[in-house]
Amino acid sequence: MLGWGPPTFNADIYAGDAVVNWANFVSQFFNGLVLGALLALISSGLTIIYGTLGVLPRPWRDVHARRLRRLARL
Amino acid sequence: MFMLGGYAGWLAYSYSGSFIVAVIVGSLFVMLVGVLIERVVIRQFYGRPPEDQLLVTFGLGIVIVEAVRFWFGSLSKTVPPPSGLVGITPIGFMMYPTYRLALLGIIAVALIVLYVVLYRTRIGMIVRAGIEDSGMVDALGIDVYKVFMLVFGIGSMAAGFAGIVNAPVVSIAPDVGESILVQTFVVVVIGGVGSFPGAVLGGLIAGEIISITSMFNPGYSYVMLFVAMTLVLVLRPYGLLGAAGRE
Repeated sequence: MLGWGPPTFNADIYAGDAVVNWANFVSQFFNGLVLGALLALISSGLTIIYGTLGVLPRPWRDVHARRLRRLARL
Repeated sequence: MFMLGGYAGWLAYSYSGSFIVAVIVGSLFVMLVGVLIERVVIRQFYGRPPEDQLLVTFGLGIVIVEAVRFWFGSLSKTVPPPSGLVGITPIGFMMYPTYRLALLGIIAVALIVLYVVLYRTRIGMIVRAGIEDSGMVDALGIDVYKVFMLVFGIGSMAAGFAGIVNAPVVSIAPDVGESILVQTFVVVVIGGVGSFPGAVLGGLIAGEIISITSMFNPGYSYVMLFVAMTLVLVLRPYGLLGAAGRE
């Protein structure tokens, strides 16, 4: 069970095999920032391509359209 | 394109020995490949259903991966970081790899440049208009096919650039793009298709979810990512910053 509270450097919490402490958390936070920035860069390219092609939103628009039709019938 | 950028950069690095040359050559090469693919293949699919366009891009991805595997083999390649960015940097109470910190800055600069191009230039305005309503752009007398070509070039270059700057962190292999492709799709769905700020926000959210979850249990990192995507799709089907009604 993981505890919550003010972070301390000596308080290591064992979650399975992983050691969860404040230093590890900050390190992973930075790793997440680097990975996130990388994903953001690739995704920004992909999103303008798929935005132009109009590929992805259609299924979700159709889901909404179906919901609206169902509401209209009620 | 991510993988192709890495390989093009690695090849350029092998010949020149300069990381900057590798980044420039890798990005430009991938941009040219993107434009070529748009002109030769994708253009034939503009009038087709979106599912066909998705399938053809997936198919092209498989062809490119297998072609690279044929030419370069399956063994991974490494590109060392620039000499000034080797080693670790103390940040308060912890040490962190210098190149990873620099990578954060490099990508931030790239994103700012991309933002300026998309939001502060006339070309960017036309590209954004093409994303919102390509029919209207066409009606205004702008060659919409050139806009599509430009979009493919910019999009491919962004992926290629990411591939080469990430090469010193993760060694390059033909299937290096497969895992990142899934994550990228999730980011696009979370952020909202066609939204540049959405892609940045979605990327940062996805990166933190994967990384923080990995600290507790790496096996659940993808699970949490897809949980986040599912929540976004249920609560905001067009993504966090996506616009409803965009085609």
